[in-house]
This record gives sequence, structure tokens and C-alpha cells, in this order.
Amino acid sequence: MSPEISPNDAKTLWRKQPSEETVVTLDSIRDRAEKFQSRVRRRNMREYLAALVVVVVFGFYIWIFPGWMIKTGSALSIVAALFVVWQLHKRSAAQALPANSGMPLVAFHREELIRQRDALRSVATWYLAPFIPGCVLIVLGRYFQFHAPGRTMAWDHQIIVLAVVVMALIFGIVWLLNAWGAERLQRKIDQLDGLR
Amino acid sequence: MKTDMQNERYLSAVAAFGGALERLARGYEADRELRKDLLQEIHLALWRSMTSFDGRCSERTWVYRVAHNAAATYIARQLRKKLHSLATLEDLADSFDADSPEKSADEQQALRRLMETVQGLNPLDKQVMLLYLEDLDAVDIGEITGLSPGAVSTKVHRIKAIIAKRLQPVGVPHVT
Repeated sequence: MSPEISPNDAKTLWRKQPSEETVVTLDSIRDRAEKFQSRVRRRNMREYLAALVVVVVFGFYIWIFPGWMIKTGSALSIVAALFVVWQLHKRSAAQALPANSGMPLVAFHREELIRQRDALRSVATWYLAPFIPGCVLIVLGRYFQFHAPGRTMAWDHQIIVLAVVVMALIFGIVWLLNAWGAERLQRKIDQLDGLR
Repeated sequence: MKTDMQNERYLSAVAAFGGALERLARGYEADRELRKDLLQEIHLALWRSMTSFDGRCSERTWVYRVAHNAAATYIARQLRKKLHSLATLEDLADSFDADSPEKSADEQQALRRLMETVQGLNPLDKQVMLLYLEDLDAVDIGEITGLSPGAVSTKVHRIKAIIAKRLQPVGVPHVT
């Protein structure tokens, strides 16, 4: 029968396990760093293209729809989309290159959890709220200044009200999911604080 | 000039701790290809970090901090992409049987169980266990992790109990 393995045996066993001979050279590290930068550039490009699509679509609305409300609402939506893209860019750039990798592990983990928690908590202010003024004005413009051709006024208004309810539900669910996520992360942060 | 210094510090760290970094990657990732990717990521983080290493802690403490932080970040990213999973017994069997034909069956089985145990732990417990297995004492583990001495002591005590329980050969009753 084999003898029992002690903690010291386990340490020895761990440290003398065979190497996989994975070769990492300075050149391969530089290549990886360069690929990482390329990925960041491609991601930025996608964000700029998305912003461009929003500008074109809402710019088209400004051009074709009558009434100052829809036109102003579309312009505000363009501003909101550009603001959100800028926020995404800023936040993901901070995440991609952590400058604090030499921190003690618990502190590093805690900072990461705080960053994620704050991002979730602030979703309402930087991701949802910027679109609200534009949406409200567009809806008001549709209700009071422009009606879809081929529908009765009452039917058109019912559709607009239904669309508002759906939008409010989507906003509410996104906010609620993020609030729950932030609460879960806060519990993890509290647990870590108890270990320091 | 700055890059030369960075390269020099990185190469010195790798000469001293290259083996430990490879074992660390094994503790985090069971899949061989993903493990190679993780190891590259750890080396990249270490190379980058050498521009901000100011000597306020030892080189060893710095290397372990950077490596564990890089690995934990990598695994969290893989989990979001659903690319990371815990080891299966087949993964572990492939990994060790192919690498170490000279090892005894008991040693291979013990190492397999040890790896399975490490890989299944949550990030913080995994970090403490990996540092313990690298034979760092409680003071060093505390400095690297930032855990209080009491928390390190509790975790090390539990690790010893887990090793005793999980690694004892089949048929030997465990006495606490």
C-alpha cells in the first residue's frame, strides 16, 4: 500500500513536475504586445463606425421628418450616441492596460471588483440617461406633430404609447440587472475587506 | 535605454522564476493550448511591469504579484468568453501521462489529484495554494497577496487539510 502524502511531499511533487518547454522570447512578447494594440485599434474603429451609423440614421431623420421636436430629438440622440461611444472607449481603455499589476493580489482583485461595480452602478447615468431627452422629444414629436400615413389618429397614438411602454420596460430591466450585478460585486468586496 | 533596462530586468526575472511561472499557468488553465496562451500573457504582463518596478518589494514578490494578477485577469476574461473550464480527468491524464513516463503511477496520480484540486479552487484560494506549493512561507504569502497573517494562517491550515484528504492513497483512512 502506498504511504500517505504529506504537505511537504505535495510541495516537492508540485515543484518537480516536468516542464512543458514552452518557449517565450522577447520577440514573441513584442509581437503579442503589437497584436494587442492592433486589436484595440480595430475595436476603436468598430466603435467609430457604429457612431457614424447612428449619426447617418438620425441625421436622415432630421432631414426627412417634420416638426422641431423630432428634429431636435434626433440631434440629441446623435449627441447621446457620441457620448456613449466616448465613454465606452474611455472605460475599456482603462481596463485593457492595467498599470497596477504589481499590487498585492487582494488589492488588485478589489480594485477590479470596484471598477466593475462602479461601471454597473453608473450605467444609468452614462448609458441610459443620455438617450432619454432625445427619445422623449422624438416620442412627443410623433404624438403631437407627425402621424404615420394610413393609420387613424387613435391607432397611431396607441402604437406610440405601446412603444413608450416597451422602451420604459427595456430601460428598467437593464437598470435593474445592473443594480443587482453591482450589489453582488459589493458583497464580494465586503468579503475581501474582511480578509485584509 | 529604458527598453534595455526593461528587457534586462525581465530576462533576469524569467531566469529566476521561469519554472514557477510555468507551474503557475498549469494551476490556472487545464487546456494545453490555452495554457500556452496564458503563459505568453503572463510574460507580456511581466515584461510590461518592469517599467514600473521600483524595488519597494523583492523581485520575487513582484513577479508573483504580476503573474497571479495577469493570470486571474486572463481567466476572468476566458470565463466571460466561455473558453475556460475546469479540468476533466482526461485532460489531466493526457497532460501527465505524456509528460512523465518516468514517474511512478502513485506520483502521477497524486500530482493529478493535486492539479485537479488547485484548478478547482476560487481565485484567491488558488493563489494562496500555489504560493504554498512553491514553498513560500506565511509572511511571503501575506506580502504577495495582501492577506492578513490570520487569514493566511487559516488558509494554509485548510490547504494542509485538503492535501491530506485529497492526496492520500485510496484505501488509507484519513485521520484528523
